[in-house]
Amino acid sequence: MKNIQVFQRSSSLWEKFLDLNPQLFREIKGKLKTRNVVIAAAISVITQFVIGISLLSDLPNPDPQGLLKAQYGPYAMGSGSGNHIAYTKDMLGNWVINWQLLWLDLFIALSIVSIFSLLIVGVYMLIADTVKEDNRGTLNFIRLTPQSAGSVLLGKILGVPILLYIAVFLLSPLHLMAGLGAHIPLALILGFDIVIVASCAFFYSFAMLWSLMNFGLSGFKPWLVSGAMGALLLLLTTATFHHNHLISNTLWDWILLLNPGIVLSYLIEATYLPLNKIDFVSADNLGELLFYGQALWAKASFGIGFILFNFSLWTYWCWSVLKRRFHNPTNTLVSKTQSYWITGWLSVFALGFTLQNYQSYSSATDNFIFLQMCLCILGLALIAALSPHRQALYDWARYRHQNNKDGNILWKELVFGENSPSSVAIAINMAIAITYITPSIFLFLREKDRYIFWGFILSGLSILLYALVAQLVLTLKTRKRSVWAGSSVRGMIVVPPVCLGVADFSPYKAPE
Amino acid sequence: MSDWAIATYGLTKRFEGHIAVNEIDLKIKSGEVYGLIGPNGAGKTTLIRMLAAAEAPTKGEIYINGDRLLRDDSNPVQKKRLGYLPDDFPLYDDLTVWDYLEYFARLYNLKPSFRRRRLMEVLELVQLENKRKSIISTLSRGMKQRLSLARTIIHEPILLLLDEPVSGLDPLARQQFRQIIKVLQEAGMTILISSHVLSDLAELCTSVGIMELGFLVESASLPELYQRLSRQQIILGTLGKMEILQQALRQNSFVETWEMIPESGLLKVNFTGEKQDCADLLRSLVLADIPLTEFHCTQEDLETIFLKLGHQQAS
Ligand SMILES: Nc1ncnc2c1ncn2[C@@H]1O[C@H](COP(=O)(O)OP(=O)(O)OP(=O)(O)O)[C@@H](O)[C@H]1O
Ligand SMILES: [Mg+2]
Repeated sequence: MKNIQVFQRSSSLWEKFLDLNPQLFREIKGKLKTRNVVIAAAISVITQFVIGISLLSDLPNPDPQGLLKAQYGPYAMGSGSGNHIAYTKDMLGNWVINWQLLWLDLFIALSIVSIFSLLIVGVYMLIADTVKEDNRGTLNFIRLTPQSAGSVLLGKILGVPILLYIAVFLLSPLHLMAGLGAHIPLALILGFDIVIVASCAFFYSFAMLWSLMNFGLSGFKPWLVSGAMGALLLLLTTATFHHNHLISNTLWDWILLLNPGIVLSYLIEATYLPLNKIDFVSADNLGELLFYGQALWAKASFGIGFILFNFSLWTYWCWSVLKRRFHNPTNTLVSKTQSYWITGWLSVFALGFTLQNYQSYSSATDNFIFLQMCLCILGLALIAALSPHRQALYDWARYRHQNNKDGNILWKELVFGENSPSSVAIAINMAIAITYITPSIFLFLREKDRYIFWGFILSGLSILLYALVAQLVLTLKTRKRSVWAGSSVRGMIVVPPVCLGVADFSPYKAPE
Repeated sequence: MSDWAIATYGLTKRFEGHIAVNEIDLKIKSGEVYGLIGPNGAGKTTLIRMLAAAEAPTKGEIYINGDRLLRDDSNPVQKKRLGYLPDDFPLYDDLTVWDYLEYFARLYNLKPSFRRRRLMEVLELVQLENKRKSIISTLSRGMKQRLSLARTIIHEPILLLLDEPVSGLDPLARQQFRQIIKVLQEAGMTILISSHVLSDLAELCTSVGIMELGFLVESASLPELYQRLSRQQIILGTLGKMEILQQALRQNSFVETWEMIPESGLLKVNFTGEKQDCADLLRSLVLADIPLTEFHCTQEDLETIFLKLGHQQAS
């Protein structure tokens, strides 16, 4: 095996580039070997070739003598849709082919392949690499150097999937050509590329965060996330292809915006090809999605802008958690102050997607019930992210007076302090979310549906109860406390409804 | 007080159910080579990890050259002062020796113009110049250890923390290692070494600290430690009868006890007097016509002192 560096030449520009980020230097030195680059390039070229060939196979066979019978395919100019349009001939006897549609199909295929490989393979590479370094202990050395967490993590994100970047970069000339061939405006193609970059920024930061969470299972971590990522992308992408009405006008639509492929709608619309020829969710349908009553997605510029904004907020929060996590791998995942901000942001967005243009009052109520469910999920996530373990809690209780001059003010410690019990912070988080949501309940729901408010209060209180139990279990002296805490919370969620079910008790009949 | 290279106050680390490091007030002057010894599980590694900011203390404060040590992005200057060699020295298998060192030189923000020269310097110091193009996974254990040491000093730290740096090295490599440490000390570094090879420490260190069950039970300069805890000994050998020699010894008031050293036929005498009393004893023995073949003043070595303290193993 030969390991020749690709860039033997010490060109000063390249040196300068490497000087920017030491971590990037390390990844490039470790990964950018000639052999690897050749393999990546070959995979990229073969992929393009296969996609190209499979599209071209739908074209009619050449027929100079005019002997063949009628031929059918998707790229004929005739009316109709699907794969069975008869090809016609022009006056010179050549097949008339809808080249624009062919280019568009090529463009879409290349886009989807790039998105899938960037998000699934990239996430896998990042997690596998970071988990390996964490297990070996080499990450600890990097922590001890004067580099900031940001510079190291950025270097990893730019460097670890570098072969993947090369492969995808080699797709881009054909991609651009296909886009221009399909008469998509250049600005939109670039906008689409930026959305893909933004989605990578978010999912890669999330991958780094995931690999720095310690919950055992380290060998399994990369598979878990890239598997989940693959399932999610597959679901979202097939949904965009086969549903003309993708937008459900619920909070669920927020998830759709995490698929960069959704932007393709605008690009397809800009080709002015008849919609029945393309099996993709229409831009008109996207326009039905509202955010606080505004149809932000009706126009391509706003739509893409908002999708970018959404990604950048998610990325921002990931980074703020990451930066803290990198230097304190044993503390709770987020600090209490961070949790308040994150809850606030999530509430603002979630409520925005909950307030839609309802067909009926009952769908408004349903939307709020869905929001309440999501609040519960957020609450459970916060319990996991905020509850310190036994030793940390014990140290906090024992030494807080000595460690910290604020340690004597108990409420400050409980609200903002590191490693203090989570319950008060969880209560505050729930209060933030419910306070923000409540006015809308009273403004937008019918009088008889306002019981939803009590639903929110009830779920807030049960989350608080779960938080208390989880914190108590985490302070027990048994081994495997996290497992016990998780199981007891799950038990508390599942057992009451099951009991009600067994007792054949229905809440609708309760006041009888 | 900034004339301490390291000063800790009430440094404590608790793990589940037990205390690994307990209320340690460690003070090390700059320029010293400080040896940390103690039985397995005494808490040496934990203490060093906290000093290197690789582990958060449960309680207590650490000052490096007078500045409080904190574990976050906020102190790049302080991080450049520290060099830490852990006991398991993890490395990257896919890099070459040169790239590995260059990576760390960059991580420590060494200037590009200076980097190359510094890399050559440290490679020469640890004698790995001819291996600089090799992939790290092909090095022997001793070479990896020396490479790790090179990595530890690449950024010219002024405080070195070495956790069992010589374990697994052959005698020659250990000798070379002591040489390197001496060079570094002459360059003005303060060095903290934990090791189980006490003879090495006795040769290298200016001060020694002894840990036991998380406590720092002893911390003193080496001469002071010898003076306090080690007895002077005289090794005697004679061609004549042992009994006559022993009779003569009995008359000297500074002689406490003695024992035969098996096989060599020599006598080891515990002696409480000063140099002058030593000379007097020799003169008296010669005058008593005892045919001496050997008269040799020594001190109990560090190992004997350590064993004598009768430490308990943490278990
Ligand atoms: N991560 C950890 N979790 C729990 N206990 C730990 C951890 N690290 C160390 N300990 C405990 O702390 C005590 C001190 O360990 P430490 O490694 O500091 O000892 P040491 O003096 O370096 O021993 P040795 O001479 O064997 O290297 C031991 O009882 C050990 O079991
Ligand atoms: Mg140790």
